[in-house]
Amino acid sequence: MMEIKDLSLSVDEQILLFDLSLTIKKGEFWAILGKNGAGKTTLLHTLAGLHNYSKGSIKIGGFELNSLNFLTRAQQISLLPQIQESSLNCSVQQAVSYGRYAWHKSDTANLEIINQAIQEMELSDLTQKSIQALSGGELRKVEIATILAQDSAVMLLDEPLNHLDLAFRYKLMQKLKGLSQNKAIIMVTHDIQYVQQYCSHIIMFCGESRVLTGKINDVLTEKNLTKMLGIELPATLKESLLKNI
Amino acid sequence: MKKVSAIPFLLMALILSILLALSMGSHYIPFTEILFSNKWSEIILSIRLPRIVNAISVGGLLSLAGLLVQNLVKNPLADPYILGISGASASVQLAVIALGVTLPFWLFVTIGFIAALLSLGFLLLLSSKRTINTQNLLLSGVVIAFAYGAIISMILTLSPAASTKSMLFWLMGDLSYSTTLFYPIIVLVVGSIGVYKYHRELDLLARGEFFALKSGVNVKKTNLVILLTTSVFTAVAVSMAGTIGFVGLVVPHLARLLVGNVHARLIPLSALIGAIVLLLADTLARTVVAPIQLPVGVFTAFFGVPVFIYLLRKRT
Repeated sequence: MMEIKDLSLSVDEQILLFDLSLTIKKGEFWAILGKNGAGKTTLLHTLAGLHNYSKGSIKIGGFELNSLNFLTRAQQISLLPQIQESSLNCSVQQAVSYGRYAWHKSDTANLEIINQAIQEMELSDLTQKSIQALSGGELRKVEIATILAQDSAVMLLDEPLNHLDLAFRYKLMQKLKGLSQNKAIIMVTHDIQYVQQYCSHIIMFCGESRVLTGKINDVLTEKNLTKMLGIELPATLKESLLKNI
Repeated sequence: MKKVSAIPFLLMALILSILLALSMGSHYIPFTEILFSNKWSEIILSIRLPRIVNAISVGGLLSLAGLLVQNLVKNPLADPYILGISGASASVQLAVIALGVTLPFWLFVTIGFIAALLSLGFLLLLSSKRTINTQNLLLSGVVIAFAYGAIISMILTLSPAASTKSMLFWLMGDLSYSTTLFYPIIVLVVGSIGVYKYHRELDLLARGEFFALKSGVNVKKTNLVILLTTSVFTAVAVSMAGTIGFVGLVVPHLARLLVGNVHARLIPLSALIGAIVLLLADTLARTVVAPIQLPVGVFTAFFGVPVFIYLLRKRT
C-alpha cells in the first residue's frame, strides 16, 4: 500500500532520518516510537505529503506521493495532527463534515458517514454544540471523528490518545485495531503498553538518525528500548512492559 | 447554525430600506407617491436611485472583501480598511484625481486594483516567511495603512484648494458620485457567484491552512482566488465611494453570529447585510442635517464602533 525507499529527512540541516526503506501493507498497524524531538511527527507529516523530503521516494498505490493531486492524496491518506488550534465557531457535525471534503458523494451518503463517525466517537449528544464549547478530550474526539469520516486507505495518527480518558483510550485502540483490517494505520505514541497489545509493526527512533523497523516482537526488545530511551530501564518498568515479549 | 434561513427576512429588509431611501432626503417623498405618481421621477431616477444602487453594491462589495480577507489572514480583526488595502487603492486613485487626469472608469478601477493587489500581496509575503504571525501581520497591515494615510495627506496638502474638500469627502466615504451605475453591481453579482464556488474550501480554510491542506484543499489556488477577489472588490468599492471603514469589519461578524462558519450562507448573507447597512447609513447621512450631506463613513463608524466592541466582549 505504501512503499518507502531510501527516505532521508532533515529539518534545519539536522538529519533526522537516513535511508529508511520499508513497505506498509493493508492490515498492518504500525507504531512510531522515539524520544521527544526525534523526528516522529516530521516523519508522519512527510508520509502525509505535507513535508518535503530531501532524498528517496514514497509511493502510495504505485504512485509517487508528491505527484498526487490534493484530492486524491486526501482520499488515500488522512492525518490526525498532534495539536490543533480551534477558535472557530462551528458545530461538531460541521467540523466532522470537513473530513468528507475530498469525496464527491451525495449529501445523504456523506451525512450517514459523518453521523456514524460521530456515534463511534460517542459524540452523538454534542452534534449541534459549538466546538468552542468542548473540553480538550471532546475536541480530540471530534478530530478523530473527522479522520474516521475521511475514510482514507492510510491513516496517520499523531498521539491519538492524548487528552482521552483511560476507558476511551482502550475503546479507541480496539476500534483502530478493527479498522486496520482494511486499512494501514501508522500511529505515533509514547504508550508502550498499547503498542505491545495492539500494533503489528514498529518504527523506532534510536537516536543519531538511526531507525529500527520491523515486526513488533522483533524490535520491541529490552535492549532496543534501553537504546531508544538512553537510560537503563527501572526494574519495575521492565517487568510490566516486557512481560509479553 | 440555526435552521431558519435569514435570507428572506433580509431581502425584505433590503426592500424596505430601498423604499425608505427613496422617500427620505432633503425633500421628503411619501411612499404612496413613489409608487403611484410620476411627479418625482426626476429626483428619484436621476438622484436617489443611482445613489441607492451605489450604496447597495459598495456595501455588498466591502462586506464580502472583509469576509474574504478575514479568512485569508486568519484574523477576525482584519478588513480592507484596517489592512491598508483600501488605502492603497485610494492613494493612487487620489493621485490621479489630484493630477487632474480623467481616466475611463475601468482604467481608474484597474490602477486601484493593482495597488490593492500589490499592497495585500506584500503583506502576505511578509507573513509567508514564518517570521511573522497573524497578530503581527495585522499590525503590519495597520502600519502600512498609516503610510497610505501619510501619502494621502501629502496629496491633499499639495492639491489646489478648490478640489481639497471633495477629495476629503471622498476619503471619508461618499456615495454621491454615482456616475457609473452598473459596473459595481455586475462586479458584485459575478464576483459573489465566483467566490460562492469556493464555499467549501473557505469553510475548511477558516479552520487553518494546515487543516485545509491535509483535508485535500488546494490552498495556494484558493488563497490566490481570495487575494484577487478581495483586491477587485476593494478597488471597485473605493473607486465608487472612497474609503469606508467598519462595514467590512463588522458585517461578516454579524453574519457569522447568524449562521456560523458556513460560507455557502455567509457569502449571500454578508453581501445582503452589507448592502442594507450601507444603504441605511447613507440615508441617515443625507437626511440628519439636510440639506447638508455628511460623509457616509461617519455613520458606519458610529454604527460600527459600538457593535464591534459589543461583539468583542461577547466573544471573550
